[in-house]
Amino acid sequence: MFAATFRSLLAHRARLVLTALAIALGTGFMAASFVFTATLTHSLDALFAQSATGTDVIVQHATPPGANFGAGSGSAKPVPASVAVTVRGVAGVAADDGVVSGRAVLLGRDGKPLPGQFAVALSWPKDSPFQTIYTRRSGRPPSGPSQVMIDRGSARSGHFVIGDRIDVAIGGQARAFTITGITGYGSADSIGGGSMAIFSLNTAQRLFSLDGHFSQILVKAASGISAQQLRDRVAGVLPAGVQAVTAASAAANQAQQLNSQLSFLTYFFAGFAGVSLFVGAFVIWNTFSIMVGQRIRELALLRALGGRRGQVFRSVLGEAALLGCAGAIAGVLLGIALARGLAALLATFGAALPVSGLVVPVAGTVASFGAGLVVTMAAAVPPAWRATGVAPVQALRDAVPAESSYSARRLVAGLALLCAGVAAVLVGLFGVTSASVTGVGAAFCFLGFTVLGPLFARPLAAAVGLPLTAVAGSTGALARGNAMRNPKRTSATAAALMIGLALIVAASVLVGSARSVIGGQIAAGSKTSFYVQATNTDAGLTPTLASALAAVPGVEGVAEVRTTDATVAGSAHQNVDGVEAAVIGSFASLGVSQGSVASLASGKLLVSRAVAIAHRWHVGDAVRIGFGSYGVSTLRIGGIFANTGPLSSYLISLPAFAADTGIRTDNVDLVRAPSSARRDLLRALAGYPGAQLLDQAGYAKSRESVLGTILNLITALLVLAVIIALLGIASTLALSVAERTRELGLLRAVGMQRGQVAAMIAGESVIIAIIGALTGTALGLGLGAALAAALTRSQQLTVVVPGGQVAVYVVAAALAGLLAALAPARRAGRMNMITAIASE
Amino acid sequence: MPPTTTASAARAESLVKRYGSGQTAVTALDGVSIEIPAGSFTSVMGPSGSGKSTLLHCMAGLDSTDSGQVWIADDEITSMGDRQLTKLRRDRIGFVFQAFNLLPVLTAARNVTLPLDIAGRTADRDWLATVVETVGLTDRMSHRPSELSGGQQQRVAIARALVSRPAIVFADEPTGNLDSRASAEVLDLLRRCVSDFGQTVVMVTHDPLAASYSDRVVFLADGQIVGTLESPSPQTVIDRMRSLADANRG
Repeated sequence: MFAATFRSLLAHRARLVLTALAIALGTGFMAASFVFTATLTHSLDALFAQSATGTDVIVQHATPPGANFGAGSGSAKPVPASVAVTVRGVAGVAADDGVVSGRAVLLGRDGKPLPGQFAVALSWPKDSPFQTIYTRRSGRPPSGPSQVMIDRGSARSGHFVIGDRIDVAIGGQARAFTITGITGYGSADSIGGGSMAIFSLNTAQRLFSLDGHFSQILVKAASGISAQQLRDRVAGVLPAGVQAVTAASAAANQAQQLNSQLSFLTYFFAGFAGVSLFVGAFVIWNTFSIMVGQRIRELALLRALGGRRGQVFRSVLGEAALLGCAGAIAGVLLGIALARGLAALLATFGAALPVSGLVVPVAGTVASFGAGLVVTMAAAVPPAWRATGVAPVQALRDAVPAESSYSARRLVAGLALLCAGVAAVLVGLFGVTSASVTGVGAAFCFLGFTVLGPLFARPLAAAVGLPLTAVAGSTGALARGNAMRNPKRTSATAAALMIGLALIVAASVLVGSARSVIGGQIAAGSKTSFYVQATNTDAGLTPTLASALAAVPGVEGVAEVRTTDATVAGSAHQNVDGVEAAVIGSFASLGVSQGSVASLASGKLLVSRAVAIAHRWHVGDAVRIGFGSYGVSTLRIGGIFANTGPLSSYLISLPAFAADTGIRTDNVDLVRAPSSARRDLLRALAGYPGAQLLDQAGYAKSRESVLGTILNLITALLVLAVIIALLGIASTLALSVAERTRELGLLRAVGMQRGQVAAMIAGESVIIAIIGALTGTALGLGLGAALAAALTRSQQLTVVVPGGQVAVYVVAAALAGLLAALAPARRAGRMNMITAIASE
Repeated sequence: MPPTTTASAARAESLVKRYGSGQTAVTALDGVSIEIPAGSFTSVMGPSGSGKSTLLHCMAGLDSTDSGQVWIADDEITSMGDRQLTKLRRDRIGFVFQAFNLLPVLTAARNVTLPLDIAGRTADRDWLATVVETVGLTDRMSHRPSELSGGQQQRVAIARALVSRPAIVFADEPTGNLDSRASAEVLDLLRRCVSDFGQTVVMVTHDPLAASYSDRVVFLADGQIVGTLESPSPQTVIDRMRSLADANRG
């Protein structure tokens, strides 16, 4: 029995390769996400572990629980220099050193930032143990106010050597330094793909306004004392709020914190891997359905010869198991290769991560393999079950594929699934607001459409194929007829494409609507004509620039806006803006409905109506906001405003912001000036390569651009699902071509040219692809509209259908259908007529 | 040899066709020369493996030959490329197969006009009406093949073979899948094509009764023509087959 299964697999190998590939792609994506995450985790661990070299204990400000900063937000709260003196007095301290860190962007000779995933500024440690991380040094460490040491990577990419002059942007403002030294970082040329600007301690303190303070105090233990012992001793002498941690645990903690921030990537990719496997399941189900249909005689013979139903079932399922194994193994291998590609893909979309080496997690790999195998077998169960229904007598009859007729049961089942799906989507979006309920609902909608598919496939194929008959005559008519002849097959093949396209369309409707909301808000809520924005948000803009802008002729007013990432009422990664309480009202029409803008000045918090509704906040309520090592502040709501305009949902005054975050650089300067002031403003920005001048539209665009990037990333990931669907089309066509050998042979015999036969198959493929595209678009528009409504309802209910984009998707799907038909069409054209028409 | 200008619908000269190579090579046609006069009804008979189907395929431009030449009317076809050959089959040759070979997605009417549709030509209305009337399926033309009986399907196939007024119609065991009554209808129809329209028909068969409808029977054995019989009757065909079998045995 098993040998027969294996032989049957081999006999269909060409077509099964396509099916196995469909499994392999989904499995591969899943494995890739695991491998990628593990590799990233490992890279981060290694990076931070390395940073602890030479240090035993680190003294720094503690971050209270629930106050985590987001990645790239302000630096840690500085520690007074007096603490270092106290620490030095502790027995067992061999060396101690206060260091300062900040953000400084190295500029190339063209004035543009040197490539680097991030830009750090450090102070040169005075004691040798703390210098050991800086390896393969050349030149001298920086000592004077105009000296800098840079990393080897930047020196190479910018073609800098010792003695060269280099511009460094601090707070967006370019300052000239002389390169006195070049260094590596541990075993690497730089720190995890970022650039390093290393100044003398005094210079760094002056540049980052940290006179008399350190970011951290590094401590080295005397011989015979463990890091843990020293930590305990040091901890005993520290003032409140300052903590001592071993360098090892600090590194582990930092790595763990960054990893947990990146954990969303795992879910993100796993989601797409799930979509791919779901689509792959359709392809497998369809392929096995067709193969069981074609093998009815064989199966009936098996039954006639005494094979039991269970044996038939196992034979089909065994085939699926073998196929699933092969596909899943290929997928895991593919995934390992793909993991590298994933890092490159993210880098393309502007999210560069320090990835080095390749870590293959056993659990994740096994899970991916298992998922591929289980999905394949599960998808083969319905066809296998149908195979057991084959009566022995069918071995003697001519196998005529049964035409599926209208079935009331199908209609009821399909509508029930669809209604359940729609209900779940709506409940997930507007009721319990759960992404998984929404996702399950969407899956039910897909299944509902798939069940209903055969009822509508025939009229749809007839309608879609109509233009083809007009253009391509009998070839087109035959293509249309072929697409119509087996509605179940046509709809199942189109279903896989439908899912991929529905998700893409939904994403584009969602993003289009969100964009429109942002653009509309900035336009409506703003009285600002120019925006001077930091090109590197982390580095920010020095307040000096704001004064310089205010002095530009024609400028009526300038307002500084500072931004940080904070944990608001328990939810991390919320933007909180610091604004000038007295003037912000004249730059943005906030539309305060309760309370007042003036309350900002008395240390109150202003919140947007959207978040106030979501949290059920009222004026006077207390909101806890965590600002990392600056601690948790409890702020009272002093007002609720309608239009966020160019600002965030949470506003506090600049003094409060400085006290709570330590950030002294601006994110954007709002400028009120006639448009004629543009040239003078540009001139004022001459010395500030880290600042860009944007008008209303440009600023809206820059705020929306993140969404565009997200849409591109989502589309790129969903394209995989579409490719799997195309494999499905190719596989179905290959099976259909094999099934219609006789017809194709006849067509050739009575005078159809090879090209016409190929065109006929391609036509059928295009019809199927367009059916998938149209149903997918319909479903996607519905889903996207629901998503957009849910997302924007608290602000201004907006549903935007990017018509041009959707049209492009449908056309692309049709062309892809053509591509999928290439191989089967070629094969059909080259079919041997004699074997095709020869009698049995 | 230059092509003769006599009214021959098709002609083969020293046809050789081998399958496989080396030890396992089989010679299906071993130097067959045959002339099919225009307006004649020829049967090709012979035991299984005698090469009768191969002869039909090679003469109809469906299969390639190893040596020898084939003419359809005045056109030498063995040197033609696939495009030209396909066009020739479309415009000059009609086919009737044992398994009917109709397209299930097309109505009977569209199946009949298929060769014209492929060529992008419209049917001659009068001729089409004549053909459909002759095959006796005027009222079944809007049906799909699955709604027709075997005999009706084969009559549709004959109409399809006639519709482009080909130089010659090749029929490969046209009654092989039919009962005796349907067989008689189909054979009678082929006979009338020849008698009423002057159509040339070549039919491969193993049925002496079927062969008796034709003007002449050509007997094949081991890839060679081993005899002909003019104006056959079922009995004379059986007698000749028996004597050929005896000769073979002896």
